[in-house]
Amino acid sequence: MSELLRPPAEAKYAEELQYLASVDKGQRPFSWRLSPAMVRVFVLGSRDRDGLDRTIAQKWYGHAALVEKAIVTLASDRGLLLIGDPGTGKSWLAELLAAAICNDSTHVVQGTAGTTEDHVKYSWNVAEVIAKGQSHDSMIPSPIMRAMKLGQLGRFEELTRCTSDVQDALISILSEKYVSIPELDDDNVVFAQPGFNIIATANSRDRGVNDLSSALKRRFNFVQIPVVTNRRQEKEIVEFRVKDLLRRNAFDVEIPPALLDVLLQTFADLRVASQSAGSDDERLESALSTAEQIGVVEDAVLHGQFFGEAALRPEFVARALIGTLVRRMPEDLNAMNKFWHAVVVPKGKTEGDVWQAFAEGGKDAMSLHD
Amino acid sequence: MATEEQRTAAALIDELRTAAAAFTDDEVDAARVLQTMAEDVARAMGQPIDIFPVIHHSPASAVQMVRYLRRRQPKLVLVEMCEDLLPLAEHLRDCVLPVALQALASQPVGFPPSWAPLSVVSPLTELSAEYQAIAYALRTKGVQLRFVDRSVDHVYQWIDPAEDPNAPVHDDFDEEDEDAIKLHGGALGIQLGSITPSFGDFRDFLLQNARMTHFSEWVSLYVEQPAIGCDTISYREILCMIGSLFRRLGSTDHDREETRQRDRYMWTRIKQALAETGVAPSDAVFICGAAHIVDDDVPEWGLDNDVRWQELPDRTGTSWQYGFIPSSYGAIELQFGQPRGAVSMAESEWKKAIKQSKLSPYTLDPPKAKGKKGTATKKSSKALQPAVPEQLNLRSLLRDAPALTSTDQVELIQWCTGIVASARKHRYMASTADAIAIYETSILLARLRARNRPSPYDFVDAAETCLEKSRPPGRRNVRQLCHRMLGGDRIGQVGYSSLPPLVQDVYDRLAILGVSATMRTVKRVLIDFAAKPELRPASQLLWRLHWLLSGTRVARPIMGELALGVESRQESWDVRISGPEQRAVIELSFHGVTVEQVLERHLQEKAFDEQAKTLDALEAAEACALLLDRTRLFSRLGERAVVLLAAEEGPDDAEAIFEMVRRLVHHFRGTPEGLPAWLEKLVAVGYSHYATLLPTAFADRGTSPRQLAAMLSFVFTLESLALTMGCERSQLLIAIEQSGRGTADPEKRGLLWACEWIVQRREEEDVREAFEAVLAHPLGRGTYPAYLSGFLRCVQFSPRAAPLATELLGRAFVVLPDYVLLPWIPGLLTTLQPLAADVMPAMFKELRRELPRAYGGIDEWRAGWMQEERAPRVDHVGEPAAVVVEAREVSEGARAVQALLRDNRGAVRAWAQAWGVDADVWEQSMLAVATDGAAEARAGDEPLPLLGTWPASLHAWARVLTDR
Repeated sequence: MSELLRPPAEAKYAEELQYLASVDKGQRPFSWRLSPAMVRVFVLGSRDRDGLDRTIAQKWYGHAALVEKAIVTLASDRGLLLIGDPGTGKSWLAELLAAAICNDSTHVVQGTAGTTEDHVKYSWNVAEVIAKGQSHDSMIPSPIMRAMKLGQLGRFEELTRCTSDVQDALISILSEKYVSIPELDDDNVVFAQPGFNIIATANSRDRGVNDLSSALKRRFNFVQIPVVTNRRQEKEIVEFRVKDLLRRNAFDVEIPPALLDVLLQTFADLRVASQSAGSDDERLESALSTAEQIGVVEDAVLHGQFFGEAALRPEFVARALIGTLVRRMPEDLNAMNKFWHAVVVPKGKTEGDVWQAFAEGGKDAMSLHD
Repeated sequence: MATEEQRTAAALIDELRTAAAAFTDDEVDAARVLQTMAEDVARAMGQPIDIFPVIHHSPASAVQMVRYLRRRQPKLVLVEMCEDLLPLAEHLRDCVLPVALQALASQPVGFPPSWAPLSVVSPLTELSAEYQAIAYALRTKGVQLRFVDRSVDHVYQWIDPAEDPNAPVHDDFDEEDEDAIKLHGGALGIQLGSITPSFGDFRDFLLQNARMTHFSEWVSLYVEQPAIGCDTISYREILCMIGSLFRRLGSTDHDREETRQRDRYMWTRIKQALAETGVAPSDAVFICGAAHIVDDDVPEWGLDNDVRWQELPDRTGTSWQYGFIPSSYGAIELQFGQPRGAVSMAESEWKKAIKQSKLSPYTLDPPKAKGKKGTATKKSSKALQPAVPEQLNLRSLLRDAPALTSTDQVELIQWCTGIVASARKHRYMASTADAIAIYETSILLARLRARNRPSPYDFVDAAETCLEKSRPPGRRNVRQLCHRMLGGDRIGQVGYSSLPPLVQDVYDRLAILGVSATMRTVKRVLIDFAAKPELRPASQLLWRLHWLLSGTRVARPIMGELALGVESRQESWDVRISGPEQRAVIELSFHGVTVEQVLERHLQEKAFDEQAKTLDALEAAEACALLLDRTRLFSRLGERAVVLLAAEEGPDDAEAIFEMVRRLVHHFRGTPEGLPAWLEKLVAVGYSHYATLLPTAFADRGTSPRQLAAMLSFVFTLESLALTMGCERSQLLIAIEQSGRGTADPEKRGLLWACEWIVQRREEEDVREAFEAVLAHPLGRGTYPAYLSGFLRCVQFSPRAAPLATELLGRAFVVLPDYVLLPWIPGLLTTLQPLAADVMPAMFKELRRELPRAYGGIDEWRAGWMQEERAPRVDHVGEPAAVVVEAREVSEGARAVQALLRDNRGAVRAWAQAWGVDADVWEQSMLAVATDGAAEARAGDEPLPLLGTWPASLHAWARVLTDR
């Protein structure tokens, strides 16, 4: 597993999961590997009051009540729909929950405009069907169906990118908890085993593209994941994810705290500027989420490692920030230019060297941007 | 022999030592902390006076307070409330709770001016322990009540001057009902028994470990619920321990120091009160916040010494006004940073506890009911004892959380079905399946959060999880619906007899309209003065309230108008003087005894403020004329406006001032008394002031053409009146002469040309030529619209410029290329739009005169000036008369005169020469006279006054010519 580019959460945290299962004395719903309280500990990290003899690191940062709502929903009869802006950690939370509850977070259907009902239920191996006819052997179960059979959690990413008829294929799965296979004469129903449920995610910026039907809505509990605006929490997230990246690449880079503060403050200022912009053209297209901050730092670290100095310098971060956030030309560049000279450059003159280097780096990046 | 309290304390200390040894590696430090806490509890419990710690709006505190008072019947009740609020306590009996005791100082002395007005509120609800104590003391004979905390003046004195006491407490409050939650306005809230830890890290640690979001949730689960059902001694011990914990570990140094100061003050007052009343300490009770049970090295603390604060700090010279304002649960939550619905949930806990314990809470009946034996004074023998098992003591409560009782289960089911019904009413797709899901989720959430039973917070989270989809279908979301269902907001009301005289007077005077203090809804008032002329005074009062409380909805006119010279025949009003709006009227009473007195004071303050401008004084004067029949005040305000106008430095408010003065002049000219003296003086001062300012204003880039036009409007429109008051036109002429030198702005130059033409410093033809020159210049053509916009402004104060303005405007549309014309049109419209009332009628009149009367003639129609343009001017071409005659309809007689003059041009020119008049001008004028008559004569042409002065000569010459 260590050779994988990105191991799933259950592999990455296998040791923690094993430990938690061994000390878990709480009641476990259905076939859950951990009790709800331990799932919470796995996701949000351990506290003194949990009475564990080792520390469990926090893996998802956000409001604890949201995680609790998500966990109890999965223990209930309803599916869980995580809604939020891009980069708020919906998929990561879904993966962690699936890993903690059923030790398998890979039963994933990725919703796109091209997703069909076959991807949600099952499809056929055409060669096998021609050779032997339709049977269980020639059927290709979808990840959701596999999860049903195993009594595990199925994940449906970007549910609202799918068309309504595909979405509605989930209604019977969530209500009756079985899938009929009319092509087969015998044994033509696949029943869900206890413990099966679905975690779906939806992007709130896609609202209105393919709205969920009322029938499907009432089969899901909605949990809204807000953009993290708490500075301390945001800092923790960025540090956590960036350390993960550095570990993965075996880089030995220190992120100066002052530089991280500059980045966080710039994002906070950008959010304010974005809220007060008069029109969409004056507003950056980006959601300015925490994930994008992580992306900026990742980009800067990689750039520094491969093309510059090993140390992370403010100029690299500024350049990475411009590269990450300026997408539309010329609207985003105009908005960024205005923001940079109104907010960042003045800080560069008054708030010290880090800000100054950061401001200069941004100006250079914008002047070279094409 | 050891007392019960001492035995309990010793047992507690042992218990805590054991806990320290069991749960921490750092046994020594932890034991020390826990022992200190235990000692604090023992010290507080061992005082000769009963110290009764409470938490603000805590049902447990209130229930235990009732239980304690019923059993112990203390003779002296000492409460941690600002001592100067005590006189208000008696009036609580007239109020419907929640209300807030308020102290307000509109003109503070000795405080930073930016803090004004100073306002302190102390809200009370029925479930406030202090209210129960106050009610007990006021209802029970022989019981004395004292407030022992520092005064409201000290509250502000002890605030760091660098802080902003008016800063909002909770910015991100979810505003469901704006009116109700803003009842306290910007007042500084004080509460008895605040225990929220001010040390942020401590609070966060506490909440994270408890897996909670809000501190009130923590208090509810770990303090309220265990303490509500236990015996009084255990309750006091629990609160003492909580108070000790938060005082010693959860407070910042700054807060601790302030608490120490207050302790010094209160214990000094307590000792004084005991000495004054002669009540034994064992017959007294001191009701305070839990944090005050700790001595914290305060020498005055406790009755086992007689140390007193020898020189209590003095109050400042600030004059404070005291009264009540209505409060609401939402306002209390907002004021003290509690989550929405916290007080509602506390109320439902209080009601449940009262019902279960069969206690009768103390209430204050209105005076009428005083003689009756109310339920509150009846004592149930059962109520004297706690309804819960006595074995619930401190140690057992510290160990175990309460189990889910059957009552709670029934209640939870009721909540689940109730919220589903409520959600359905608010257009949510909610069904019985949702109720089941909410129930299940509540239980699961409670278990996940290590609680034996779901708290209201768990229920709200569960309901939100199961019902809330992408967006609320109605006005309220699920969280708001839950809070409404769990109790909802309550809005208090201050009773009539507790109201200040001003408010009583308002109610009395509006009673004729059916408005009363007990009214809870909006009162729609319809007034027909023809049928009921006696309602006129009530209407006037409503207008006064409307003016004074313009930012509120106390009195909102639906139909009817208040304007000079206008007397409504019918009016319709929406009146809200109770509930949330009552506060605004009550606050008026801090400024006077009657509405009229307050209004007079406001008007004077408005006009005589150091920063007041002319417009402020004029507005005050107009308001005085409209709302108050006070001649002397009216004159004072007017005189103040005169003084301010003379000292005004720029033309900033010229437009508004002109409008206001014109309105006043127009009104008072129609009255039998005529113009007031100050108004005449103001016109004269204004004429002189604005005339003098003209050169500067024309040259100053910061002065807009619009402001200039307003100044000129004042000067020209009110000129005749100003001249009668002794002003000289020469002042204006010199100013206009000087103005020409300073300005290069095209719009201002256009306006200046107009002025020069009006005062006869420029001929009409010169104006045309000036505009022609602009048009003719290949680079200047683009500025033609700006010149014209300036010129058009003069039509508002000189309607006779309309023909020329129309002509110049028409010329622009013919001559200007599209690339100049099209971008200008929006600007032209925005220029003309504010002048619509003044300029457009004159220009439309001119157009009506010019345009053909029927559509048929439109093809052949050409504007008069176009035909004139085609025709050569008099001095260049020989036949100007024919052009003029074609352009206008003339009478038979005029035609004859024109023909005569045309035939005898030599003679006409000779006469002109003889009189020293320009022959061309003379000839044109004669033709114009012949065409339009002397009435249309142009003021700039010199021969016309001559002819006007000697009409007989003209006729004589006409006869001679005709006879010849």
